Amino acid sequence: MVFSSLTFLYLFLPLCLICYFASPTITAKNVTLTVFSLIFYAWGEPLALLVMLFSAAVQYAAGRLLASRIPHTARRCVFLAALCISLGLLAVFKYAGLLVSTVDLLPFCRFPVPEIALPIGISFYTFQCLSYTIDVYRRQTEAQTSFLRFLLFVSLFPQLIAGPILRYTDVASQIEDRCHSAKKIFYGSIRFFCGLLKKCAIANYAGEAADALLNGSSCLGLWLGILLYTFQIYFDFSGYSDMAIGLGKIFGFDYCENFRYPYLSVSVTEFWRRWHISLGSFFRDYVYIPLGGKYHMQVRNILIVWALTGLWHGASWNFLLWGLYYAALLLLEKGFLLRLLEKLPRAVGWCWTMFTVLIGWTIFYFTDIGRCLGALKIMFGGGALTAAGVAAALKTNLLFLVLAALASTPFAAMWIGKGMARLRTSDGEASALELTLGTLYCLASLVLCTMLICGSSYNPFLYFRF
Amino acid sequence: MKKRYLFPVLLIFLPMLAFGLFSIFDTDAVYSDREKRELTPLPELTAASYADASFMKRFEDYYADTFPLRGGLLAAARRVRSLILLTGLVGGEDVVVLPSARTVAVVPEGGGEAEASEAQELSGILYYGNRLMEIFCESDANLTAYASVLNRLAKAAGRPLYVMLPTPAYTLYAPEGQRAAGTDFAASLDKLKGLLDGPVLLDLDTAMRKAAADDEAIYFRTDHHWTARGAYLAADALARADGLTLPTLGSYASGSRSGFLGSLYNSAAAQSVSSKFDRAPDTVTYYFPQYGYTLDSYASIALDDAERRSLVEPDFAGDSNLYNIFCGGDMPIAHIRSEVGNGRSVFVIRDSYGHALLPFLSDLYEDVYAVDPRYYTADYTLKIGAFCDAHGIDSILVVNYSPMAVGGYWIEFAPYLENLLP
Repeated sequence: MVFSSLTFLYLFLPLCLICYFASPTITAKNVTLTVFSLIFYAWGEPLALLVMLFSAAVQYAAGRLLASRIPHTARRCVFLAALCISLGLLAVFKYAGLLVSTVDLLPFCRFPVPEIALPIGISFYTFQCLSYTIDVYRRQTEAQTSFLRFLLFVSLFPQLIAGPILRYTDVASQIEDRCHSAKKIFYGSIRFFCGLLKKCAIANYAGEAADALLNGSSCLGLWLGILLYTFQIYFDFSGYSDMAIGLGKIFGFDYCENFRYPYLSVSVTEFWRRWHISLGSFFRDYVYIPLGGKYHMQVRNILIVWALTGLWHGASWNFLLWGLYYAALLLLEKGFLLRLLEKLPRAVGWCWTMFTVLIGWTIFYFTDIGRCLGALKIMFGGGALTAAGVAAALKTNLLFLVLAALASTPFAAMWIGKGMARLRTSDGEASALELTLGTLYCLASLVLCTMLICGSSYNPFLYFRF
Repeated sequence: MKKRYLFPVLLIFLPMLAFGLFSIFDTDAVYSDREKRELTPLPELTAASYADASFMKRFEDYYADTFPLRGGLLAAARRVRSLILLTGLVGGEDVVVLPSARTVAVVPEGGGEAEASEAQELSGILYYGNRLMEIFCESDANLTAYASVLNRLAKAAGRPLYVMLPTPAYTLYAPEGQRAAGTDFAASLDKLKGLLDGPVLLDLDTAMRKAAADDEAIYFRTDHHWTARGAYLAADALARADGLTLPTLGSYASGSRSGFLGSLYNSAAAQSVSSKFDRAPDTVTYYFPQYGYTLDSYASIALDDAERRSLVEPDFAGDSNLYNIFCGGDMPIAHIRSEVGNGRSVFVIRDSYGHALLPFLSDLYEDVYAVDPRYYTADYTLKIGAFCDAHGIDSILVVNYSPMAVGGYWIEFAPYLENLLP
């Protein structure tokens, strides 16, 4: 199920909210939320639910064993076994096809390529499970004793299929006990509808327009197409994160931010501190630093982390190329460029960042490396400058591009936030005007998104299969 | 919970709940006039449909299709998009590629089951120049299969066999840069000509390109069919090839009906560009045959279940597809007896492109038998040679939507034609 579907908005969510808030105790609330999360997941792929339950059960059992008094060697074996099972599932379901088809490129190798359906959100919940097991192994957190609570952590539907990637240490106490209030629900709703609007009103259209242009073969058409795709991927993914954070708030959880206006960055290094923050911090804490971080073989560590980041995004070699492309840029910045950019006007850094990000999304968009290189060649002058329809496409999308660019900055949110803050009561509560405007915003977004969802029969999230 | 927040929260979520409840208990629509299609019915829940998630997918379709006030919401969505995208402000030069739900299939080398093609990336509907057109991408494999079956039909029939492949609207009207590499209809025609051994490929391309360049309305702007004017060009090409003379178009009595929104509009109905056609739909111009005739439509090859029809039905009201003004829509088998009095007869193997053509053929041939092989069933055992012998047919004509024959979209027509072989 996706959030931007009528089934979710008008059937699943109201029913879930009624059952959740009718549950009298935190345990009952947790049971309700777990049941609805499993229904949510099984709605899309019932059989994949078994994979998730298996993965959760293994990590839960590993956590209990790691917390028990067992010899150090046994503890180490349990930890490695848990890692192998978790990563093994990811490897089988996500990368088996890529590996076999790559091996088949070798002479005399003709293995049948396995056609395994990728369970939705496997990359997200696998990483959540891994963070838990590693933290328990490092004795940075207590093992969860209740499978129900652990299952809730793994399967929480707001972030189950597209993140943010939760750390167990961040939500452990909230699972045990959390605060529910109409205030949280109100602000959570505003955040949810903000994300829904990003997805339905901006990302979906940007995607349609980008696809049309990226099918063409002219320099300006491709640049315009990739610019639209740049907005699509940001609003799609950050919209989903907003919805997840908003829903989490409604159910009493406080999730970490996943995006901080990345297109304002003035260096690639800064971009990756603002983009998909939960993934970046996962790789930093569980791969980069354990490998030695900046103190031991930093170049190797960066290459490994970014190769893994690339492959995490998809089972295709272009994603590896995309990851290594960013590794090269980050090494360049660490070498000298960052110091140089700091001395230059911020606009130069911003231009550098956006240029490299656009090239990055080109590598990301074209999953076929041949097509990707062909597109890059045309974008840098190796083809026709423009084609019929490109100027018209720019004209048609001009207002949309301006609005999307504005929406990817914090200015509107800051302006509204400041205005509302002035109207707050002395005890910091929302004024009547803020409540009225917030309610109207949610209702207007609901109507607009319902209209747009009705008008679109195919509405998948980009990050579904990651 | 603080009461000051409670009321706004209820105001946000109660409408969702109320609308959700209403959507469950209201009466579901079964047909959409705007989209001209049956709406998805409530799927049946079975263990198998649950396990493979098909129930959930169908339920999502059903719920979206039957959502309360859906028609109004769709129209409102288009208005909003038009507003944001300035589609009302820019002229007819904007280009939009709309995704298409068509299946892309290509016969693999050496025959066998059709399989998905790389051409899928090129499928879709193009909006350009205030016109919708289906993106055309030829397929060598499909073209070869089509040529092969035509050769065998001509051999089995033992009579002259003419082939009409109308130049697709995409070839005529799409901007140069939009046409992907490899989409070259003229090259497809040349290849087909080289592969045909017996059948005669009529030259429609020259006349259709000239007519398009002269801005003659040979294709509808919202439908994938040609207009009567386009069909006239094809009938004229056939007449010349078969030694006949077709009256000039100006000598025909004609009429027109406006308000036609065709198949491509239906496919694009959720898109903002479709609002342009709401304001300026197509007009169907029709020409009455000059000679008296009778038209009988049959469902059986025994030709014993005649239903009398007209070649042109200006008041056609069967549904809102005004292309069905021609012949009243599909007919598995049709027989036209014309008073043209030249003793000539033709056997037409055709799809819906034949609808607009048949009125002109009735002015060329005394007997016109038209068969639509898409209606082939196990009981439908019409074989070309035996049928032509039984009815004293002089010539054979094959006419169909070009992408169905040589495009990388479908391979439906060649297998249908196979069924007519002994």
